[in-house]
Amino acid sequence: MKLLEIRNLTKRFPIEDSIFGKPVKFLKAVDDVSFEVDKGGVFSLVGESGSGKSTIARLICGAYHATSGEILYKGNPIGRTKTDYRNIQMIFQDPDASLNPRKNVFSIIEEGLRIHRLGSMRERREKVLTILDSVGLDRSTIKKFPHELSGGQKQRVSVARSLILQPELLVLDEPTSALDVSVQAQMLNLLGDLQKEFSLTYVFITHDLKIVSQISDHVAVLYLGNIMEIGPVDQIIDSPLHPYTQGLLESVPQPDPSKKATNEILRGEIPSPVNPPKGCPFITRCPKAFEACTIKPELKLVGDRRVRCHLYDTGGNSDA
Amino acid sequence: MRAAQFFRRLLRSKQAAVGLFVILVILVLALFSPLIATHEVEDMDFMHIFALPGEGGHLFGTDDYGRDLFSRLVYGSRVSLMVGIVAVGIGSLLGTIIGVIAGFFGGLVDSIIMRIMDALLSFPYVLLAIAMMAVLGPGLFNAMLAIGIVMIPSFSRVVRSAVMTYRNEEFVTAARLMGGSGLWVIMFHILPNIIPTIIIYASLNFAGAIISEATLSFLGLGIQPPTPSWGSMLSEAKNYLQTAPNMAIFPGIAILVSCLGFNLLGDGLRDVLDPRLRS
Repeated sequence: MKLLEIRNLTKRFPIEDSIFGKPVKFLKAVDDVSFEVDKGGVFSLVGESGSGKSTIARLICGAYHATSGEILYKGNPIGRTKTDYRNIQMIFQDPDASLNPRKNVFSIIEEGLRIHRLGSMRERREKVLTILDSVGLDRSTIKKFPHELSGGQKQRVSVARSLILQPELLVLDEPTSALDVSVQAQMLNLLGDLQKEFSLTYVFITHDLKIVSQISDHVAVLYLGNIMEIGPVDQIIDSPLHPYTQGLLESVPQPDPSKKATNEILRGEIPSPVNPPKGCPFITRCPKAFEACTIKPELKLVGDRRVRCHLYDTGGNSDA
Repeated sequence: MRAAQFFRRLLRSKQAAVGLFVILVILVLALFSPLIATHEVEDMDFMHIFALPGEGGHLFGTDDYGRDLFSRLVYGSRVSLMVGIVAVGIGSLLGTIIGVIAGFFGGLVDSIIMRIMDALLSFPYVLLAIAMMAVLGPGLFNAMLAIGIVMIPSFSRVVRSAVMTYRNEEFVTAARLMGGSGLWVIMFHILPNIIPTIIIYASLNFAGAIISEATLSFLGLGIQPPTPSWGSMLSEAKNYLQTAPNMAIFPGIAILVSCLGFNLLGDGLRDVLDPRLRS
């Protein structure tokens, strides 16, 4: 069953003229993105900063209105209703910013229940304590303030805050990148356990391909708001088709120092989304670019996955 | 528990301790005026007009009607303290409400509100209060009201900018995405974070309010004779500065010391409420 369907989602942000406040240009953060997430699945969005992955997360959670396109939740367009806000929860990258420094752990976790007026004071207290057990925090933490906790503990608090409303879909915006490497693994294990325990569906946003292969079943690679490659995670990690995906995988640091990094592909910076390159978005950095790339390629079905690259114009069935 | 901890931290700062002491002394003077005063405030001792300090049993001397300056000073603390509390209360309450609305909603609402505040700010402080007194008529309550209203623009400006720094914090976004309403976000997230700013600004305005009352009374617009206030005593003293300087010196010192007290407490509060300085 499809829990979440994203159809031709586009989000443009106006760039305002500094004097008159009229939009003079638009920044296309998300450009005609479509994907589906199965109930109980883990869908990853990967890409460099500026690729639009966080914008997609915020669109799903209702922080922004889409410029065009649809987000369907259980087959219905997503609305800003109390139930949607309950069923879809977001976990932010930096727990220092997403936890109110003047509230203790108990009030932070309890907040959702109070917003939705759920349970009596005693029931809420019980729930908070139970959820603390689930995320592996000691019950004595409830009286502490965020600045008294470690980074990993803070992120656990923010996971607890999201889970207390018993959501179905969790949108995780780089939940581990603010943490130490040693804590990252613990956090990923916790997230994996919680997913099974509460039968959650994850939309997992990251720039770290190691994490993608560890946690998710499907992945979409984003570049300048476009999906470049999308499909089952094992295929994409094992044999990436798109030159960009290949480059991303090459740039993953190798733990073995005798293997030299062959980072030849990903040079330079991601272009500004205000002035995206004409044709293929990746043309400015692609080592395999040729004449056809001046025309923007469509997403084409190649095997089980879809790729946006002219290298696969022949062989794959055109999906456009 | 937390209040006790707060006071312990507050008293660790010498500034704040001195400020708190001064304010407590004024509070005692105001609350127990009848017990502390040596004479009735409106009793005139015609045998000792313009008495020097200590003369004829008058600790600080007497004024042009032979009224005991010490007793008038003690009773005057009531007016000064009340003006401070009421005017700052009006100014901080309304200023906070206006500032929160402007800062939180932003856009057109913010522009309209803040342009009105700018217009009010463009008048000199005292002139605005005098204009307001001219409309309301003289009297203590009207003076407090005018001083309070004059405080609103600067207060709302301070609160607005504090709100704006917290409005875009991620914990506010998180609350919105959990379904929290605007009112929820303001009450649960923004207000607890800006309350230190409000307290500090209020404590600094306290001193300003006492001086403003003195100014209005000096101009004859505040408290009406024969009720004493520090400002009105100073006002009466201006004609006798050369012959009886004690009439001006004692209320002057009282205003100076009380303002110092509130300013010291305000500085101390700022240090205590800054989370970066917490252990």
